[in-house]
Formats: sequence, C-alpha cells, structure tokens
Amino acid sequence: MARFDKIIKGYFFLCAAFSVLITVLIVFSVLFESVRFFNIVPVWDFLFGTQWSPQTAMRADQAGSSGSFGAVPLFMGTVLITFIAMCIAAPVGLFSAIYLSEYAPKKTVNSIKPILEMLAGVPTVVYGYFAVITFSPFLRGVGDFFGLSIASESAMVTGIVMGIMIIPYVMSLSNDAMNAVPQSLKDASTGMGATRSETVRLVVIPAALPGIISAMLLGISRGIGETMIVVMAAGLAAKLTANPFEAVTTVTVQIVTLLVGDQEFDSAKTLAAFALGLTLFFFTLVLNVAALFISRKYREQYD
Amino acid sequence: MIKRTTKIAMKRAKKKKNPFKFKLGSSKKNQVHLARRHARERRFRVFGFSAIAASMIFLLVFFASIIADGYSAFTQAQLRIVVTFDQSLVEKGNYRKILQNSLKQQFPEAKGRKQRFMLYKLVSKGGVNSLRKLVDNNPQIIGETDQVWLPASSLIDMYVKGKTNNEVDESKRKIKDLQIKWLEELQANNSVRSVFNTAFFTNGDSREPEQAGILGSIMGSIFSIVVCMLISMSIGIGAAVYLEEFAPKNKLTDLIEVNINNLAAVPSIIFGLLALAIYLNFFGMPRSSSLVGGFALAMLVLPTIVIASRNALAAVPPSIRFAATALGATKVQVTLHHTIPYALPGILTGTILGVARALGETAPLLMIGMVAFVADVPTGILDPATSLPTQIYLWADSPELGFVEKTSACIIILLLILGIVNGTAAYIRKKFQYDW
Amino acid sequence: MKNKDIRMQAKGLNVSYGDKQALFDVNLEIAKNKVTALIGPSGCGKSTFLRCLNRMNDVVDSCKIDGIVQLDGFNIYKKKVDVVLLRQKIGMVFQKPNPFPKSIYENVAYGPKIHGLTNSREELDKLVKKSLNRAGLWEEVKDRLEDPGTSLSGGQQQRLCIARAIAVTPEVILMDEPCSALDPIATKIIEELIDDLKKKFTIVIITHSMQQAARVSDYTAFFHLGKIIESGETKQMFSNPRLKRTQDYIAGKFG
Ligand SMILES: Nc1ncnc2c1ncn2[C@@H]1O[C@H](COP(=O)(O)OP(=O)(O)OP(=O)(O)O)[C@@H](O)[C@H]1O
Ligand SMILES: [Mg+2]
Repeated sequence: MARFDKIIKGYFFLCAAFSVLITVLIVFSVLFESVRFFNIVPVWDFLFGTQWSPQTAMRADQAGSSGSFGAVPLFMGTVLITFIAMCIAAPVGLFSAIYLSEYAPKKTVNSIKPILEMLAGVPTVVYGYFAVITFSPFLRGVGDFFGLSIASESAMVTGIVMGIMIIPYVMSLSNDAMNAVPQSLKDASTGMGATRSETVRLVVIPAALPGIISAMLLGISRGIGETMIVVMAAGLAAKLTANPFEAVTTVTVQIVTLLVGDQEFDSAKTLAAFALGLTLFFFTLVLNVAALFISRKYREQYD
Repeated sequence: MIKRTTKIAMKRAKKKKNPFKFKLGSSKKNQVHLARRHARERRFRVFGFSAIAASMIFLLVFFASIIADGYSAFTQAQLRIVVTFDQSLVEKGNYRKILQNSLKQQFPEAKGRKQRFMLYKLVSKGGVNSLRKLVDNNPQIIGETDQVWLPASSLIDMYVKGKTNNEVDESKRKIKDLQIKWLEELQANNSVRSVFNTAFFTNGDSREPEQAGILGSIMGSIFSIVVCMLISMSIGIGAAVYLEEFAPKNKLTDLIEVNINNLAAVPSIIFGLLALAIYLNFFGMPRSSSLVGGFALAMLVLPTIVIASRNALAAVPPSIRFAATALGATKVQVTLHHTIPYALPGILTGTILGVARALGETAPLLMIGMVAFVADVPTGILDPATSLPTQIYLWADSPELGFVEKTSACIIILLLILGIVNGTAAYIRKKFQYDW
Repeated sequence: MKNKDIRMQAKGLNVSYGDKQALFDVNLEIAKNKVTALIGPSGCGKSTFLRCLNRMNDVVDSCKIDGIVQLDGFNIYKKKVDVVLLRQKIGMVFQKPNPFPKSIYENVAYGPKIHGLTNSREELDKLVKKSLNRAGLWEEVKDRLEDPGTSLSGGQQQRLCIARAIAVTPEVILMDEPCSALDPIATKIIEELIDDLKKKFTIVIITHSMQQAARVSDYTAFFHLGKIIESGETKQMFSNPRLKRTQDYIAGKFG
C-alpha cells in the first residue's frame, strides 16, 4: 500500500516538475539557437542596429554582413503598436470594470459580463482577419475624409484592433481587483457623502491600484506577444518611424516570416528568429513576473 | 471655458434648490461646488457606460460583418447543363472532354479558343468529378443525353451571389460580358439554382474556392486537440493535485507556482519556437502533423488546466479531507477517493476552457508548419494537416474573391464550435459543481 | 417630546429587500442633542433602519423603501433631495473600524476635501486637528499623522472613524455597533466620547449591550422582527418597561 502511495505521489510530483521543465526547455532551446546566432551577428548589432533586412543577408555574398540584423525597428514597431493598443484597452477596460463593479445593477452585470467575455474567447486570427477585411478599409476611408493618408497596414489599424482584443483582459482583471476592495471602505466613503465617482477615484482605485497595475502589465505583455493580429494586419518592411499611420513591423511578425515556409535550419535568417524569440520571452517574462508579484502583495494586504 | 462651466454649474445649482436650510448648502460657493461634483459624477458615469457600450457595439459590428460576409458560403450556385455521355469518352475516362463538348453544344456561339475557354470556366472543375460519380452510380446513362446539375465555378458563383462589381470596365473584371450573357441565358431557362453547399463540409482544402472545404482542417483540429488533451490533462491535473494537496510550503513549491503563472502568460508563439526546436529539429517528428501540433498546444494549455484544477481542488472543504483521514485513509487515498472526484466538475470545466483556448490558437501551429496547403483530409495524427484557425489564416491570405466568404464561413464555424465548447463548460459548472 | 426637540422622525416606514420585508410600519422620533439607542435581537432590522436615516440603503439594488423619514421636518426621501448633501449632514460610523488605506491625516481630511469645506491647507490642518481632538485621538497620533490609518489599534481606528465622520460637521451621527469589535477599555473611551459628542451632535447608536444602552443613551427603541415594540426614555424603559417582551429582552431571556 505504502508503495502504491509513493508511486502515485511521485507521479503527481513529476507532473508538477514537468511544468518547470517546459520553462527550462523554452529557455534552453531559444537560448541555444540564439547563441549560435550571436556567433554570426554580434549581440550589440542585433540589439542596437537600426537596419533590419534579413532577406538580403541570406544571399551567400552577404551572409552575416553586419547591419542587416539590427532589431531596433522591430522593437520600436512592437512598442508603437502595443502603445496604441493600450491607449484603447487601458481606459476602456478600466472604465468598463468600474461601471460593472460600481454602477451597473447586479442583474445587468450578470448578463453583460458573459457577453464581454465572448470578446476574450474570440481567436486572435479572427481579430486579424477583421482588421484586414473590415477595419483597415474603414479607417482608410475615415483618413481620406480628413485628408490623411493612412497605409493599409498602418500601426493604427493593428494597434486599435489589438487594443480591442486586450480590453476584456484588462477589464476582468481590474474588475476582480476592484471587487476585492472591502465593501466597508466603499460604505465609509458613501456614508461621508462622497458621490460614487469620488468613492471610485479616491478609495476604490487607490486600494485596487496594485491589481489594476498588474492588469495593465499583463495587457502589455499580451500585446507584445500577440502574433496573429500583427502577422495579418501589420507590415513586413522594417521601418523606423513613430508615425502611427505608416506600416511598421513587429518582433512576432518577423519571427513568423523568418520561419514559415521551408527553411534551412542553420542560416542566420532562421537563427535570428530564435534571437527575437529570446528577446520576446525575456521582456514578457519580466512583465508577467512583475505583474504576479504586485498582485500577490496586494492580495496579502486584504487576506 | 472655465467661466462657462462655472456658469452652467451655477444655473444647475439654482434649478436644484435644496429643501434643507443647510448652513453650507445655502452659500452660493457651496452650491456651485456641489453642482460641479454632480456634473463630474454624471461624466464619470457616462464614461463607464460608453466603455461598455463601445465593446458591445464592436462585438455587434464584428459578428454582423463576419456573418454578412460569410453566410453566402453555405450555398453554392449550380448550373443545369445538357450532358451527352459519349461512350468512347467514358471508357477513356475523359470526363473533361464530355463536359467541354456538352458546353460547346449548349452554347454553339462560342467561337475560337478564347471564347471556348471562357465557356468552360462557367462550370467548376469539380464538375468533372460529379459526372464521373454519376456514371459510376448509374452506368446505364452511358450513351444517353441528360440534364445534369453541376456546381458553378467560383467566378459564376460570386456573380450569382452579387459579390462582383459589374460596374467597372470589362477589362478590369474577371467575369466577362459574354459569360454574363451565357449565364443570363441559363437563368432564363431556370437552369441556375442555389443549393446547400455540402462540399464546404465534406472537402479538404482546394485551390478552387468553390471546391474548398473545411473537413480537412476540422479533422486536423480534432486530431491535435485529442493529442493535446491527452497530454495536458494527464500532466495538468497531476501537477494541480501535487501543488494543492502534497506540496510542502517551500521555495521549490513557490518557484513552481510562479513558473506556472508565468507560463500562462508566455506568448503563444514562443511555444511554437519550442516545438520547432525540440520536436521537429531535435526529435525529427513529422512536420505539419497534428501530433506535433498537439504537443505544442499541450504545453500551451497546461497552465490553464493546472490553475483551473487547483481552484477546483481548493474549493473542496478541508472538513471532507479530515473526515476521510479520521476514518484511516492515507493522504493518497483521501485525494484519489474524495478530493479529486468532488473537484472533478471544476477540473472538467477548466479543461474544457483549455480546449477552447487550444482550438483558437494559431501562432504556434504556424511555427510547426500546420499552414501548408493540404488538399487531402488527414486520416491520422501523422498526416500533414491544418487546423481551423490556420485554415482561416491561409484563406485570408488567398487573393481570390471566392475565398473571402469561405474565410468568413470558416470563422463562423470556428466561433460556433467555440460557443458550443464554452457553453458545455458553463453547463457543467452550473449543473455538476457542488455548492459547498 | 416637544416638537422643536425632534431632529429626525420616521413615519410609517416599510422596507423590504426583494421579497423579504425587513421593517414594518416603523415610527420613531429622534431627539435633538440626545443619544437614541436601538436595541433588539439579531436580524430584527436595526441596521436597516439606521441606514434608512441617511439613505445608505439607496446603494442596495434590491432595497425598496416606503414611508417618510424627516430631518428637521423635511422628508429626506423626496426626489429633490441631494443624497450627497444629506449624508454630509448625517454621518455614519460602522460596526467594524474601516479606515481608508491612507494616512491618518488623509482619513480625516477626506470628507472636508470632497465637500470642499476648506480653502487652504492651514484651514484643513486646523479642521483635522479639531476633529481628532474631539474624537479624543489627537494626543495619541499628533506625531504620526502620516502613518497609515490601518496601523492604529482597533479602538484608535474606531475613534479615527469617528473623527472622520465629524470632520464634515454633521448634525446627526449614526453608529452601528461601534464598540462591538473593541475591548472594554476602548469601549469605555468611546462611550465617554459619545457622552461628550452629544453636546453638539444628535446621535443614534445600535448596541447589543444592554448595559451600554443604559449607560450612554437618553432614549431607547426596542426592535423585534422588523417592528418597534417599545420606545421611550431609557431610564423608564430599563426600570419599568411597559411590555413583557421588552422586559424579557432586557433581562436577557431571549435574543
Ligand atoms: N443587503 C441585504 N439584502 C437582503 N437582505 C438583507 C440585506 N441587509 C439586511 N437584510 C435582511 O434584513 C433583515 C434585517 O437585517 P439588519 O441588518 O437590519 O438586522 P440587524 O438588526 O442589524 O441585525 P444585527 O444585530 O445582526 O446587525 C435581516 O433578515 C437580513 O437578512
Ligand atoms: Mg446590524
């Protein structure tokens, strides 16, 4: 009997350990290929170079030529699109959460929340398709009306659609945070004659701030790592620009373009995708762990 | 600007005369202050409401546009053609020629290579298969002449559905005036009809939009989900049980916890890179297969399942465990006989939500090549395959007009499946979850 | 009770939460600058009644209120009434101390700030000091005003909440079992404070302690199953109750 127990227990432990193994495998595989890449292209050139043209570098005479693997335009593109996305998702998500937790009657909440959660369940490839087919032409039409020329793969289109995708995450996480604020605090404020909005601004949001910040960080992390929307709706050409109406490319777009289709595994081109993956993993890891610790601290506060 | 708002505030303050003779309420300054606070309150409320409304409107526009684009893909135009089943051609198996001859006969005015070529384009290339099937099922037709309903080509299908722009100059559109004339002739004879598009549900992918179907991608999705669930459930539930029931409170446990929470937020494309490097390059597993796709997805949904299962286990009250322990059960027995069974509905719900996530995931499958053009419906987990989302991606990339409605239709199907899956999860949660 | 001594008055108050009625035809007068105690067994509707007095029940979706509650002769449930202003006039102290997770200073300054009661920092400082002083807390916290309110002891926290409530110069203070989370010494301090506060404020207090009701209140209302069974001067009610049920409750025979 004891032996059987030991085996079962051991199995459970192995399962838990396996989750750590996944992380180790991720780090290991991505790091391994990245190191090979950095043997061809110096880290410095990759992180701070402003020229990204992996296609030309693939030709034999240019193999590993410096300057072609400068990832700065990709980083900037990612940041630009994520920034636009958060400009949409942060206020809309936060205000939705506020409305749901402080204003809407319970019945309304129970019927609205599942509908909004549907937004979170829509696969991102569908968002990408929507961006291309419906939203991009619409935005260009609006741009034409105001005499603005908007590229069909502009950062604006991609950013807005990505923002819509992130709204439900920000909403539901900050809603959780706000619901965790004890009713007694809200009552205290209301009892003093504060209006609802004053209670929200001065009591609920400050008390839920860690949770809200953590929600925003997770939203950003999601935006940075989002692939399908940008692959379908953002540009391919690496261009260093802050103009949201121009097409920019992102880290994930380049990973996909470098790796989809037939490839030889040893070229700098394919290895570059892993270096990009490593960077992506690193930044999202920092954001996720920060979000995790902030919200944990916060939870301890009210436990 | 500031003066204006003050004035408005004053006006409001006057209108809303307070019935109390409050010391503070009576002073003008305080009335203005109060009116401003109320204005701010209203604004805040409007913001909140608009935020919700914005999401709702988006959802509405989103569904409306997808459905408007996609519903037409569920029907398919057919043309009634008078076909002569020439014996020698049937024996040679040259059904193409049979079809072409029949068309020529029906529209003798098509002269020259170019016009005849245009004529052949009325009927789908799949029409040849329909003829062959007809003869196989019904051999006595050989040598006869009969009216046969054949699928129209995408070109005609789009025209019939009104999706083509016919205002532009002929040179700028695919469908030519002559073809329109022929089609109108057929329409005049009641020889054009619209039927339910079964091919869409029974075919694999195709280069021809009217023959392209989703069966291949559905099978691919099913295979990879089955692989994914077998792996992620057996590991995920185990991990959850360990963390919730057995794990000592120490640094290692803490690390595993942080690690799982982090994994849940790692971009999905990273899992694709991992699968590419480990499964394809290191272990040499077959590229584009649902097996590798399932492996990649398994790692992706593992954290979802672990977290959901843990919550379910944590909801089982400790008193139940105490009761079983007091009867002399070992910790493992308590867990296997009591805790897990009671937590099962919650675990199942979490797992189904994991399925939903895996069903919609695309990026990791791009990395392992589940985006190739696969015409054959896969029959096993080692066959090259696509999945519903990658099929959407592939079709979205196709330039032909005919694929627009197919893409949207595929999205409708995917969303329906996701709806059913999520609905099941909600049902199980409602129906079976114990209320402690 | 003479008319001019009545500060608040409930007439024919019926309250229900959804289908469940919590108060039945409640009538009560609350005397100016006196302490009125509400007593009664758990779930009898004391808190519900108290929350009706400053319309805190407006926040509860399911709550339906029918009847009249007057403040100085005006029905506070009239449409025109501004609840914000009303609640400034009728402050509230809760059962469990609930200071905001802000500094002691900010806790007390919260009300004056939202209501715009002061024009300068000095004025606000003065008001905070005055309020803390009145709540008998100033000497204990004057050197640590920037510490979080939650760092205080339970009794101190409750006095901080009282200071917070009186900082907006209310006319009536409602207290829902303010001492139930406190030890006897902290309770005694609060009771003395209530005695002091009634010079300036009208106070309504819910308590489960008969001794406390006898000690601090001038009038008492006994609630049972959503109705007022008996109300009147505390002295008279505790020494010579009109009804047997009141006597039994006061004697601890049920509840
Ligand atoms: N928010 C609410 N929703 C529904 N029912 C409520 C709500 N608040 C109170 N009730 C019900 O109204 C009745 C009166 O409750 P109330 O809180 O006024 O009692 P109480 O006299 O203050 O009791 P206690 O001494 O325990 O505080 C109770 O039966 C209670 O269940
Ligand atoms: Mg109560």
